[in-house]
Amino acid sequence: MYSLVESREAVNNWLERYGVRFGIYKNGTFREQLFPFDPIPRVITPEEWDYLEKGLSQRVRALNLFLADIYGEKNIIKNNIVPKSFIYASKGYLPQCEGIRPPHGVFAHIAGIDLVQARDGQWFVLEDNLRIPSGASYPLIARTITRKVSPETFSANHIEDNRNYPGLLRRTMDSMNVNGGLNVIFTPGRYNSAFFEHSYLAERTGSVLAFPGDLVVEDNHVYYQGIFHEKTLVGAIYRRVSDEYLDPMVFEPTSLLGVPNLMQAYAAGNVALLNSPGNGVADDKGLYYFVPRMVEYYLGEKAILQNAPTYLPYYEEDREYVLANTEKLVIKDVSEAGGYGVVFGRDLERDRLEKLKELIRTEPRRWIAQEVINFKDLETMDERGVVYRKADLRAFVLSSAEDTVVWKSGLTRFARQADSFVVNSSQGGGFKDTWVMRDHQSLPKSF
Amino acid sequence: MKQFSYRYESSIRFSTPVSAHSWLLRCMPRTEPFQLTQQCRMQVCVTFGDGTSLPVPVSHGRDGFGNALQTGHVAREHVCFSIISEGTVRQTPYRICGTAHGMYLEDTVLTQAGPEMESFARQHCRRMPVSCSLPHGAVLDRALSLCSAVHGHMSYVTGVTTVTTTARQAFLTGQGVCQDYAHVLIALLRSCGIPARYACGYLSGEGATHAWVEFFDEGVWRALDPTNDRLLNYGCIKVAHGRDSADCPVNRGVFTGTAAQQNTLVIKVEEV
Repeated sequence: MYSLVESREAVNNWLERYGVRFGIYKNGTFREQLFPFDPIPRVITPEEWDYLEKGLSQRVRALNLFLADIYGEKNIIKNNIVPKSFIYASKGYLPQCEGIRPPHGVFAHIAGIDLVQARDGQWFVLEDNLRIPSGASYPLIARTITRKVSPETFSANHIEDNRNYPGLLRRTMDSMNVNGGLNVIFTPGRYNSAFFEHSYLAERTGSVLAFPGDLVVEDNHVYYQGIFHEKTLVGAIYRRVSDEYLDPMVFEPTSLLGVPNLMQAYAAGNVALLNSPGNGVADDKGLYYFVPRMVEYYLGEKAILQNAPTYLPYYEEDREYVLANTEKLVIKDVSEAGGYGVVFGRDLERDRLEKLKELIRTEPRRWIAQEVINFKDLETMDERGVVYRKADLRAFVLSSAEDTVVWKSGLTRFARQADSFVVNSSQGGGFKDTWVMRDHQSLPKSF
Repeated sequence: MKQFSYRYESSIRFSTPVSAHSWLLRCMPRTEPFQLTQQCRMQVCVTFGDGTSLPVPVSHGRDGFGNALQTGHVAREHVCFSIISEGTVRQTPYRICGTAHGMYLEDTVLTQAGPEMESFARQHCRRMPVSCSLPHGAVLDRALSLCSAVHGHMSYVTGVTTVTTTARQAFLTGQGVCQDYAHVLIALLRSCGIPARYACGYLSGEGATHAWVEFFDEGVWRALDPTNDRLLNYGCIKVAHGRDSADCPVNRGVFTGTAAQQNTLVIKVEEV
């Protein structure tokens, strides 16, 4: 264990050699940076994991049922569990997906659920990511490297092996594949922020890495065109291109990244898309408020995992509370992602605070407000030694035709500045491995 | 009951050959309670550089709004792409019994009203609380008065607007074509809490595709034509509907090549 901590630099050098990078667009320019790795893992006990696993699987099953309902019967609206304007005004709701039932009725095949742990040990879900959540490749490759650099750490501690992620992903793709054709990972290209992940997962799952222009729809089926324009039938596409650029015939007409008429092949059941288009309606920051109710509605069970205490200014009672307590809340713009559009009331100067309140009054549907959770800080190495930093956990939940499985690991992201709560890699955070322990005998002590 | 024959004929001539051409069409009449399609057929042909023409395979599907779609792909280089859709439809007066999907009350980029249009709408129809039940005919009256107001406010001018012109832009300049008239009326209706959607198709006497508005009242969708200031009954061959024009283009295509395009379009609708 200590040998692992001492080899922080070695691990980071290996990551650099493997090209483990994260791209960032800022002020119109593209810059790639290393994703700094911290050798002290987040450690999760078997009991804690058991609780998280049950809660995550339950949550994702409910979200999948919600998506099938929204693009199908709409019973949750008819029964007044969720106000219809929250659905239809959501940017993530795509009427183009109405009536499409994806293979086996699964919409969110690869879900990334962001959680934080409070000081008292209570876990809260902060966000569901059901569109194209990235990040699984980072702890995956970090584990591979740390096992090389410090093998004794892994023989002394009974840690669940997380190197089965490509196997789980492959199993999900195979179970969705509609015709025995190719499994494809469809990337927007090397300037995408998560390109490393796309290429690594393609390699590790035995999928074909396809770039824009490699896929073509003919006779309502999708084909991969090789360099000599030979065509191979495609059965499942793990696409890392976002909905609005996926098919220029149906969505953004100027998209050069998309595959023309892909949506028609998908609607006809001639190809599986992972994840399904239109999932944004379920991971919308506004809809988040309703997820525990979805669990009760669809599964008839109490939600195991809690949301962070959230207010919807859309409801008058909540709006009054939010306007009276803006200073102590986190305000989030529901249409933004990746740590953008998140404001801490206490950081705002008076006039900006007033402006924000005015916006909350005039466009209540656009905002949610949350209590600031007192995160449990995690031990993190910096040049001077161990320091404490805010961190979250992105858990990956894979849904196949048969079951919903939680990967026994996850991406732990931490803020690099002492006072920061924002851990997103697009905002310069670092990451840690996440160890799920198999038993108690080997729980590592503090550093 | 009346019967109409229609013929839609469109072609795109490319100045230099294009290839890898994917296309998506909405050129077949929708089957609706007021509109029965009979012997409708369509064909897509491409012409190659040597002058030979070939029909190409067409896949049939449906979009999220229930519109019939025709799609396909031509890999080979070609210089002309042409579509013929023809047949007869039987119509009863334009009414569609059903429900109003919640999306037809929400703004889209093309149909956002803005403050000027909201006050215009208030002038011409007092805002009604969404939940209160209205005396029979009140929604119809409001819709008709808004339709006349739009017709009076706008002048029909071609060439000043494009497919990306928003309702608000068209309203502020007061000029546009049927698509702009429809967007303006949709924005006004929705701002009054009346579900409204964009509809398009073929109209007798018109040389081009026409756009109009459907609004929902007491379990029935009816059609208003703000360009001609009237409630539609017969003679509009409905092809598609959606939240706005971006949901129902007749022809969308993507190809490889830098050719200039020359379009021709002939539409004929006749009562038989």
